Amino acid sequence: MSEILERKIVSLKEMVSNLVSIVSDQIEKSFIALKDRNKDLCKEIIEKDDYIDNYSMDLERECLETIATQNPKAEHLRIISAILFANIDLERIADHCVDIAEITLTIADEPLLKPLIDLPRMKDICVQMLVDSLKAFLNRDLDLARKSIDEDDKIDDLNDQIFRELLTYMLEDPRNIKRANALLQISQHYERIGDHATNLCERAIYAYEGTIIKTNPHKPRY
Amino acid sequence: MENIILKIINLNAYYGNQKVLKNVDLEIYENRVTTILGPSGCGKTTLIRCINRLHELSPGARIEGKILLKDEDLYQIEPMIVRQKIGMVFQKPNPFPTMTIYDNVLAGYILSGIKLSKEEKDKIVEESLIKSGLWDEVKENLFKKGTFLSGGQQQRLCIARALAMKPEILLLDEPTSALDPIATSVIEELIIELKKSVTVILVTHNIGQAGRVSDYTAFFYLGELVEFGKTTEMFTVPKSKKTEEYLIGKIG
Amino acid sequence: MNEKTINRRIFNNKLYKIFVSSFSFLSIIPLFLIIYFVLIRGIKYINLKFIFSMPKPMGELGGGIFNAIVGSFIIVGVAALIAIPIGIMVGIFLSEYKEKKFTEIVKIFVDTLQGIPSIVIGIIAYLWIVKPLKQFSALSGSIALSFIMLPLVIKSTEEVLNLVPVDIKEAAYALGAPYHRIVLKILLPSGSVGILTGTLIGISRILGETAPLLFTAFGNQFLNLNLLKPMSTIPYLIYVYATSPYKDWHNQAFAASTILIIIVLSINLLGRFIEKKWKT
Repeated sequence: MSEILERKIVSLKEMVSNLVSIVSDQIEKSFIALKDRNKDLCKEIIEKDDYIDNYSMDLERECLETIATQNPKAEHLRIISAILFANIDLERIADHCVDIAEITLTIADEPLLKPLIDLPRMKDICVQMLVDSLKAFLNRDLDLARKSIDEDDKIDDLNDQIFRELLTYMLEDPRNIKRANALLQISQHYERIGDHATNLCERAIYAYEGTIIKTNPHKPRY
Repeated sequence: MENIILKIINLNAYYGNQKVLKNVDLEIYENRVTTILGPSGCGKTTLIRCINRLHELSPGARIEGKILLKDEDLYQIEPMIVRQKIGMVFQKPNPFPTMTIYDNVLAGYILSGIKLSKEEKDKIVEESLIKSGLWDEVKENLFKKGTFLSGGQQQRLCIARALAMKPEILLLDEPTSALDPIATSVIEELIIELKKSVTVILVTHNIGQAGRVSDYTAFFYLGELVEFGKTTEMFTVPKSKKTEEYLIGKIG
Repeated sequence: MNEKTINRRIFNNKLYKIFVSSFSFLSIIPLFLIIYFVLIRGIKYINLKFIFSMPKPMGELGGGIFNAIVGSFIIVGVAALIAIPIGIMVGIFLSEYKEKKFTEIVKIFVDTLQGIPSIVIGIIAYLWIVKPLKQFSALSGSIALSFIMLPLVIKSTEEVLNLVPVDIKEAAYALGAPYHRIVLKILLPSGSVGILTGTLIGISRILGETAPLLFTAFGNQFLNLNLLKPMSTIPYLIYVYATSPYKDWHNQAFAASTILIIIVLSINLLGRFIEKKWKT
């Protein structure tokens, strides 16, 4: 009996892996579009989101059908539950990428306010967290998951740093406000993506240990 | 792309004056497992007994309507021919007690008086027992009587016996309800494997089993077909309230 | 529950057990007495000469009962040949068509037949066969005996076929088997032991029947193998010898009785043995 179930779980893991790879691709593209001020790439990112939404709905449906027909218990049930919740976070991450692309469209016609140093660092950590959470989930590597959760602190720190830096730009010259504000929002989107990626790691740990560790999502800013 | 292998058209079944199946219209797809699901007394066993014409052996039993196997009207040909094309496995394993395992597998041929050469017989016995997953366990004891086998093994012997006739459709009437959980899961795996070579119609009131093995489910209640569809769809988003109530355990 | 009640119950229990055992024992005593009585008087006259030689003419000493032994086997054998096929078929019919009204009627007939006194059956056979043929014959004796054996075969066939589980029959139908094959290959083999024991019981019963033979097979001083002529049988011979005035014939009657008892006992033991062996 569990053979059918095992095969279904393998297929669900494949689907979520595909989703992770598509979404991390969107994150990379969102940064490139910003850096190169590429309006066409922005539009591409926005259009791709429909595909991601449909894929996400398919994954949800497959998870529910598996639960309804195969009666998974214990670890099997937790794995499918982890995939279901990860699905939500991945879909949200994709939405953030769309938001980043839309914001980029508003400033694409003007030159970059400043060379982008911290933002790419944030983006890299996001993508790394995503990839690591999937690896941890597929390989049962709970240490990797825990390490990845800690990386989120770095994203939060970078976000604070960017805020302080952009604040000076805005105070210096009111004509900078539009672009600085845009970059600020983009930074916050990456910070949110980091939070979602943290959820993914927590779910990976839950699938195998059965406990949810709730890490403090934000360090107090004020 | 699904092929329709069996069409049940406006079937009504009676025991004397009591109507046990009402206006059933159902299509069965080839090489798929279709479950007839429902609470006790909903007419599901009567339905499959109408398909292989065992129903008419009961006193006062009759039907109205048509059953077509690939466009052939099953009630216009000899019942014996129908039963050779459509095999059945019963709830309680019932190998013939006076026959050896070897003869049990060939029982369909022996009982129909069909003569086979020794090579043909050996081939059929081996193929059928391999298909039902019993070959390795009995190949050393083919000429012993089947009574020493466990319940699960006896049931697989009955499956081999039915498969030996190379039927187009295999009817399984609650085949695991008399078996322990391990034997049950062995047979469930077997059912999924079997659909590659034969169309399976499974009768059960066990919702879990229906979910695990079937591609399509037909839900029956009080003699009527309430809903038919893909199992995955019916179990997540049933179209009828009755189906929903049965699945969540409110009725039946 | 106090000790007095418990003790009383234990005592009652023991009392009942003693009652049951002693009555069972008492019921066997007459049988033992009969066998003993006959054996004592008959066994000294049994020797190979007695078994294999022909009777001497009336009044002369000595002689054997060979013609009676052969006659008994032939008449009983033919009776069995008549009763067994018909009995099995009727038994199958009664078992398979339980719901039909006709079955009820047949059952009543069978029960009635079983209750008819054997002498009446003998008279009927006399009227139907002996009179038209204008002579006594072994065949008429066989026919009369087959009437007596028939209900026994029918009943045991019907009972044993009723024991065949319904799902075995259904499995046979579901394989597309025609009815006569289901009977031959599934029902009869499953019931073979019961049918066999029923047959053996029937045979041992009719071996000892005397009354019907009085009007049918009659008797014959000589060895006769012709079914259409009178034939000697052991029970008939016992009757004639025991009611004769000759002491030698009385002794021979006891000897013949002993032989008959031994044959019947052996058949019954054979039946039990077969039943036990097939049960495993």
